Amino acid sequence: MDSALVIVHVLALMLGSAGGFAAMLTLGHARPKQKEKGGAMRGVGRVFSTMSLMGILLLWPTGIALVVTNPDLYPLSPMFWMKMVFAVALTVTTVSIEMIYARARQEPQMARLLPSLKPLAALCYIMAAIFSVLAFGTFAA
Amino acid sequence: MDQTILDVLLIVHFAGLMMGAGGGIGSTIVMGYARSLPPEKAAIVQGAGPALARLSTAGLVLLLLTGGAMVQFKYGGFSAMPTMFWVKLVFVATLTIAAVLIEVTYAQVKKGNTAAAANLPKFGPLAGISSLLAVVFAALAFH
Repeated sequence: MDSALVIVHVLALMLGSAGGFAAMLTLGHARPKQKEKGGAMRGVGRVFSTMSLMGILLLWPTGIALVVTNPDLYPLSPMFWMKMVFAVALTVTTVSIEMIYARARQEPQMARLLPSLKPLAALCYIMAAIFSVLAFGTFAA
Repeated sequence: MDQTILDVLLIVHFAGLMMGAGGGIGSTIVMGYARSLPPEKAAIVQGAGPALARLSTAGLVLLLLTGGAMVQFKYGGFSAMPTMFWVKLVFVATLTIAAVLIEVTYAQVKKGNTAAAANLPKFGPLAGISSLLAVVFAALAFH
């Protein structure tokens, strides 16, 4: 059971971070015109954002289940709470990106926030992983 | 071995995992999305493929280097590793082969051999399934 939770948690991390990193790289390299209405890259960002959200939605329940079922392996240390700060920041950022995509048709000016939010999401993944290792060591997954 | 160094190795290992997943899954998504577009737009979207493949390869290199270092420093070498670790290594090997084949294919496409791109839909899923199974057996080996 624990192994299954860890496997799903790590796969969710891969799914979520893949959405974050791939979106940053793909849209960061695309020319502005390719991302506008009718551009080739229009639509790719939404796919990555949904992928990232799915990862987050899997990370939370599996992470909580791991902590609750294995309090000895996953103690609620200060480093754990640092990790939670970045996990919450990541969740807020990812949900914000998803909301911006949902409202971008009515309010196109909101899309201007995306170039800052996507690197922020990627940074939060890195920071959450760092504090996860510092909190749990070998059992960081 | 100093715990700080092991922590740094594990952090870089996770960063490699995220980069590898970002490049690998991202590349599969981008190529799939490109198939739904007209040819002139598809070519632009497919242009992101090599950069994503490079991200994936860089992640894989980090995984191999830090993974090998952790086995050596934490467990004292490969002889102490459990059976599940060796099963994991099989999938790490197939993942590495797939990543190399993807890099070689993109190099061929860059040189003008566009027909080589037809192999990418085979190599992408091979890399994806290999990384998934490597994670499964890593959890079974170490958790």
